Amino acid sequence: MSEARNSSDEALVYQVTRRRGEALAEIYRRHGGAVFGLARRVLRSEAHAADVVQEVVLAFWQAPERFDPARGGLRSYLLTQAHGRAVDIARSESARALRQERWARAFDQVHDLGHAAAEGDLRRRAVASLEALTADERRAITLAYFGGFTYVEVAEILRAPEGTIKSRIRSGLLRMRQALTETTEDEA
Amino acid sequence: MSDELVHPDIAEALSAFALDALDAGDAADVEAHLSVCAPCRAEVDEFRELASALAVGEASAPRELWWRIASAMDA
Repeated sequence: MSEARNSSDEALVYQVTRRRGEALAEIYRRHGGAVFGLARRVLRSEAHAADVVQEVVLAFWQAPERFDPARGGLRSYLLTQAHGRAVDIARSESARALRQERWARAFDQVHDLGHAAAEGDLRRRAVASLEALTADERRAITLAYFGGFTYVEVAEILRAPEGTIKSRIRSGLLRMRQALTETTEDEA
Repeated sequence: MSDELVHPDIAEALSAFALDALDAGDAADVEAHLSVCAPCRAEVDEFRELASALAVGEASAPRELWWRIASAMDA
């Protein structure tokens, strides 16, 4: 286990392809908290979030070759898988009451930013990303990403034209990219 | 990835797609385009990487959930 702790993500992925369970355990230890936190935030349910994490981690165990390191990091891959799954579940909630509750909480999501506990470097990056955004961009991105709403729903919640919301999401992501580049340069 | 390399009409759809903020129909259209367009695929990958920087989550994952996963691994 201590050997796994000192391994890079890349080395762990290789070990997973060789069916080494301790490598998967280390990947879970390293990234499971972020994946669980994201799923819980979108679904507002610990039980549903745990199901999503289990599904994503087991899918990776069963088909690690689907992760392509040329397309991004392992952490981002696992988060993307979990986000897509969580959003599917949130949108398929057929019970009207659940759906209404999700919408009623939409405004909490807007104000509920950046309170999560996290390791120093990751946290600094997240804070730098969010602080770079204008208030309008932050609302649009937060509702889409953490609320799990489509941009059309975000437009409805914020009473703004759909095209405007789409533009805010894009300009916000471009601004985050700029901010992260600067943060990285500062550290160099 | 500079904007000029990405099809302008699809640029805004890509950012919404990267956040899973398109409905199923629009998402399927973007996926079809991504399967034949490497620059747009790279842009989506980069946006997903950026979004994942926001997901700081918990400092540690629930331990009991790991035992549940571990027991399902060889099932």
